[in-house]
Amino acid sequence: MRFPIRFPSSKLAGVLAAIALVAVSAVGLRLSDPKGTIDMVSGVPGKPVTINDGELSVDRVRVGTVLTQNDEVRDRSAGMFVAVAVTGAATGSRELSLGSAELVSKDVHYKTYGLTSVVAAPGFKTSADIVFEVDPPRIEGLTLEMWRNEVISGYQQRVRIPLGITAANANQWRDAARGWGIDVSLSNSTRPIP
Amino acid sequence: MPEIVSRAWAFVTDQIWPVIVDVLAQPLLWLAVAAVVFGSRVLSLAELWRQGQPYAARIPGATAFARYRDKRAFRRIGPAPRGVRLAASRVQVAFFGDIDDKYLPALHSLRLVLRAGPIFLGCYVFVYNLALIAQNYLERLLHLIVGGHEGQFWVRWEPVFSLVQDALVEPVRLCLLAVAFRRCLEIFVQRSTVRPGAAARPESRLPVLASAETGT
Amino acid sequence: MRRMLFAVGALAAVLICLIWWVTYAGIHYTPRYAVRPPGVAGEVQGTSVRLLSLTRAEQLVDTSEDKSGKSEFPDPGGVWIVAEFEAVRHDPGKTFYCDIELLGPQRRLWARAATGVGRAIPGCLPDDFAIDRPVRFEAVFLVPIRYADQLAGVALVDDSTAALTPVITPI
Repeated sequence: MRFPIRFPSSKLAGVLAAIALVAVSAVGLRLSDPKGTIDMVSGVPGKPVTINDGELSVDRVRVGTVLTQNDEVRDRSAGMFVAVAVTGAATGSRELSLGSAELVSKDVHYKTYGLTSVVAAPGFKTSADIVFEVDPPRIEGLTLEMWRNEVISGYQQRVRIPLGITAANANQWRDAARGWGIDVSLSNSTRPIP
Repeated sequence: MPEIVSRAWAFVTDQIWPVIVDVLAQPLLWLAVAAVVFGSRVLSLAELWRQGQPYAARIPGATAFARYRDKRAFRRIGPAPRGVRLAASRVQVAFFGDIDDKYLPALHSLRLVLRAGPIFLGCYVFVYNLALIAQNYLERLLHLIVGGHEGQFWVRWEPVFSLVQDALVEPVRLCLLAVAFRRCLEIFVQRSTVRPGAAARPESRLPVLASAETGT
Repeated sequence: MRRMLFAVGALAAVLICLIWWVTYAGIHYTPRYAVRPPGVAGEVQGTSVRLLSLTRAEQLVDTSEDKSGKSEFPDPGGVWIVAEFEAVRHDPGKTFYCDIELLGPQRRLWARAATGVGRAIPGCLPDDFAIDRPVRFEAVFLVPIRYADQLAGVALVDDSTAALTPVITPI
């Protein structure tokens, strides 16, 4: 069997060609790697997003620099609090459980302020305020991501809902937050789906 | 200075090393394994002489053209005492008995592969990784069809999806290994016949491999 | 011929392993239920549990000794399901952890609801079960109205075993 392609006889050219082929292989492998890929289900605020066990919707977004509960100040922030009111409905036959949440803005990932989960038994819907503490200069394109909390996970479904904070209106959001208090209900409220 | 060193080290461990292991070493080692598995006259040290390999030339006293005092040093003059011979044979079995069985075949298989030349190796690594890339995209396609589910679903059904991927990609990979190994052998034979004076040399008695010779 | 037999044999071995794994994982990761005849006790964690009644209630009334007159209404679209049990613990080496859930259509499960109303029959507590002494307890569930007439019974959940989960039904 003869090799079909004739290369220059120079050994250096051969080594360089081999390195180039290895480099292309490495790039291809890295780009095609399926590990860490996620089944992202996108939505918009105000409309329910259908996922495996039910639906999730973002009802409203509030910003402020002070957190209050029952007229008591719970915490203050040098940055900004973002409280996202969400409702999860278990429309299927299984429980809806979304125990992990993040706010994502470009390359910044904000974890939740305190413990947060949206759990609804079959036929019920649960509303909760999910609070994040964010850096005011980095709020453009803030997007809520929620998913099921699992010890062992495979190709997992994740809900992604942009909050509507864009470069054009980011300053308005920052101004609205300054000195403003957010009264959050940190305990979930559950009711049957009508 | 430590910051630069730690960044450089992080770059090597995070970027360079995975490439060396996953992209380069894995295909080459699989080809060496294929060489061992497909057998085809895996060589003992004695057979290396018959093939005209220069290995023994690097061992002082092992060739017919070595200096006399090297030969004497290399060979035992007269039989050793019985107890020494018994101990030596046991040591040989314990420490060197596997050379011809395990380590030498693996070593020469790897050598056979690496001696095939950079162009061939580069192309082989490229095609091998193309098969892996195809497998990755097949896995992505299956994910797209099935959709995201909880971990328990994947624990149960992942073996089925893996079987689908492997059934399509593994035969291609095995054929590539067989063809690449065949090409390595052809390159080796071409180079052996091109070199002048590569006729068979007289076998030298290498006491370490006395039992290995009779084994082959 | 031998090659074909070898290939068929290898394929059969792979398929057998796959089918075995999918079945085994399904058994251990998917809840399976065994519905008992009405009034028959279910065995869980060394305890026999019988379901005496399963009653639908639009209002939960305080029936405790205090008789405060309080009552609690379910959320709109929901209804209370009051379940009364009798349990006898007979294995001193095991403890009944009161893990009971209401089983509805298509394997829907509802856990006990927390209410603020006192009841004459106490709720379930693991410490209440002496050996060979019948104990009565009550559990209240909140379910959507549309499933209230499709209940299969009460599941006695025990995650420490892969055995079928007994589902007890009222007399």
